Amino acid sequence: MSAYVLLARKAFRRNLQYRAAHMANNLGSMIFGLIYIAIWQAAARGGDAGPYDAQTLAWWVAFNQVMLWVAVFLPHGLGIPEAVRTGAVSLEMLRPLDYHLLVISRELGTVWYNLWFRTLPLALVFALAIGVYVPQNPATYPLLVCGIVLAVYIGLCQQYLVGISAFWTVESRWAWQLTNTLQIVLSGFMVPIDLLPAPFNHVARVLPFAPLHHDPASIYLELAGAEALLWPFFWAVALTLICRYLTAKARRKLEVQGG
Amino acid sequence: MNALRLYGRLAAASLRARMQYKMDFLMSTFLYGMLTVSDFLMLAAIMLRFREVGGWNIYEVGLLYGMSWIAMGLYRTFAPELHNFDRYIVYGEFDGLLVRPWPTLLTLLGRNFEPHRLGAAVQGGIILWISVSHLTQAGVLDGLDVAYIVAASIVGALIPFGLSLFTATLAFWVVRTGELQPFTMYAPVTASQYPLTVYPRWLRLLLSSILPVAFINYIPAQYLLGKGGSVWSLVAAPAFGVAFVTVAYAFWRLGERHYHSTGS
Amino acid sequence: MAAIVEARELTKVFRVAKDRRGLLGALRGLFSNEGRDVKAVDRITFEIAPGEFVGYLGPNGAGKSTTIKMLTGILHPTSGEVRVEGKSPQRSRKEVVRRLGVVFGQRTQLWWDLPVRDSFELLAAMYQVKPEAYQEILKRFNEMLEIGAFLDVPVRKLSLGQRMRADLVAAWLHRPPVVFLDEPTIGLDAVAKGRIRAFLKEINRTEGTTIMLTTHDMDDIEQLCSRVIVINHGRLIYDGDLEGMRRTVGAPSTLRVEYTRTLETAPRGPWTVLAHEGAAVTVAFDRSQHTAAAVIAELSRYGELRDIYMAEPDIENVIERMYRQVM
Repeated sequence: MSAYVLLARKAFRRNLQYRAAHMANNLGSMIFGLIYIAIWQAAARGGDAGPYDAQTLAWWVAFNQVMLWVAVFLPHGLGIPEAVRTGAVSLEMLRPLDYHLLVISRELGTVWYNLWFRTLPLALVFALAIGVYVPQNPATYPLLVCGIVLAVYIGLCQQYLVGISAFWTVESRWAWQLTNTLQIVLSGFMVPIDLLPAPFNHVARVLPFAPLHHDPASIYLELAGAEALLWPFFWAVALTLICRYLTAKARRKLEVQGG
Repeated sequence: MNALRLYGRLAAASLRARMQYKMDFLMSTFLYGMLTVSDFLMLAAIMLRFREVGGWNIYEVGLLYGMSWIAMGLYRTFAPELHNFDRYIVYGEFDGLLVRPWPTLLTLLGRNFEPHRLGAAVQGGIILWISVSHLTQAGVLDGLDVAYIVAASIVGALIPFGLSLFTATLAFWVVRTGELQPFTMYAPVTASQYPLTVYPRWLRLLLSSILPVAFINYIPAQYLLGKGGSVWSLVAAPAFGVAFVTVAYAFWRLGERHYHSTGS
Repeated sequence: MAAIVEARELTKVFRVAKDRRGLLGALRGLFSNEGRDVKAVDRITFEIAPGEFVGYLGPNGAGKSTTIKMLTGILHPTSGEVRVEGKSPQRSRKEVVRRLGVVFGQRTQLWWDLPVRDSFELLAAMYQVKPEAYQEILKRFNEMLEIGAFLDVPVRKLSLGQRMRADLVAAWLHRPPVVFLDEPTIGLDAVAKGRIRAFLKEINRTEGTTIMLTTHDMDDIEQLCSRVIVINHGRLIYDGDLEGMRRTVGAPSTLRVEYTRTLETAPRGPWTVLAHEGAAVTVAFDRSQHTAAAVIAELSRYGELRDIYMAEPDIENVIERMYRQVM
């Protein structure tokens, strides 16, 4: 157990070195958030979207812009393609640790860092710009925490899959960019998935991207309750199984081919 | 040495090298176009649900979107080394530019050419074509307007180029400018896909001055669509582009002078 | 004869900012000007005549690269003068650089994604090299460096040795009268080094190119340079021929040999025995007095030699001795 924690802590400290650069980058994120909020507010003024009024959409955008940093903006393939390229992956797999858990733990350090040095400053700026929505129902809070944890975990698994594909493909950049794009377009990041035109709204619901943004945001803004955790839970389990299966195959490939 | 002819040679050599893997090249172009179309998907989702945004309908916004992406796609195709310039400072490769008997910026641009990025310009072009067709059918635009729009989209590439030149020059002092790009490049260009009326006043000011993406599309489009501005808007856009790049280049020369005295 | 490269009281001072911690410290650093001055190059003066092959020698951090950067117009000196063919690289960068060839050992100037041939053709077009001249030089250099084998390979796929050979050809395409080489053999294996040294020697002889080579590899100097300029801590401490340098320093070289059979007693001769373990013997001898070949011949009189290992003369050692002696 402690080895995993140590890995996370090291990742955290590594990120800490670059906090000045990250602050500069945060400026971009803030502008992006404010731009999207402005677009939505202008749009909502012109029409009706049910429970999604201008103010709700503004909070939606702010919440998701902040969530990006813990669920989506993760290192390319969680560092696995690089490890495959340099051959370091054989050393990592040899260790008496669960490889899937090892990689996830390492990245949790980055996620924890992002939480404090990205989401927090961004959340403060957005709070100043549009105010903060405070959930009324006390049941929302534990549900929200679950939703966020599941979103982070699912995001990590998706990047993990991008990374593990490096065992079989030569060029994993496309898989990464494709995943990132899908994570932004179909996750309800900017547009709640039920607002998407058919058939995208149905497709987006059954894909593993909605749990990244749409579900936690729905819980936060009290547009949905515990039922919003069903799909995230399903995908968390499904992705874990896929990850573990592919990890075993990768390990066997390594043993057979010698890395 | 004719700079233009030389760049033509480089482009030809680059294309030749990539065509070696024809399938790969076509895939890359297509995939890149697909990736960049994600912005449009969000736009479409919003527009289909809400008739208009800031007083502009879907085809008018599509016009802005198309012009913006053509400009951006052209810039990314012709100036990838400027886009990733901080690498030259980090790895000391700027020295290699200084030992060539030409302006460093010219040598820099001549180092790479990324034809697959035209995929972004192509998807922008498609959206533009659809939007312009509807607008001409509706009688809002005529043939001359369309000709101007196409020209302005191409000339509009000067704006992201200027932004990139400013950001890259900062590398002479700050080194790692990659982190600044979301603020100086990606956010403003994304913002230019929507009419400026949508944004709060301070943002509108920012996007027409320090990060002047409004001159790529919004300012001339506004006049052509009869939503404001004057005939001078049509002149202002390209004129501003040229002036912007000129100032950015002066800044670059300043950065170069700084490099001569401090190395790195 | 007029000097083709001149440096007079060349000095470069860098200001090193005080190390600042934390965000507040970094902000404060923006407004204050505290720091200390580091003299990377201190009043260096020398003249190079056309056709000379000069070695610029010194340990890491001595100021070699900084000097070359000032000679090629990359850096501007803090004080002093630089002239290449009578012109200042600072004031007339483009004019001066047009007639220079520069090779950086660590970084290539070729186009990364394009085949080597394309890089050459682009450079030939840029420097307006006539097609006949280009073909001729390509043919000649192919004979010397055997680049034909990888002319159609993208530069990013080349090995270090191949890339260095390609860089050398690229530097000579426009037949510059002066070429600066910054650590060209660094990181290469013995075979590759030998090939490049042979090429440089030949080119200097047939083309008459003035070559200035920075290195901290003594063998580069010994095999190529008629003249050596030694620099340490930014100061010029020796400028003359190789013989003179050896005589000045008298640094011992180390030789380790392995006999096929254990030696009872240590071999005696014009050397000092540093170690003797069974069949292995390590000796130190004075290079200025005896050649390595002679020493080996002497050693082999004591038995059949199975293996020979020559330790490179420690450049830092040589320089430090020299520095102490000159002071």
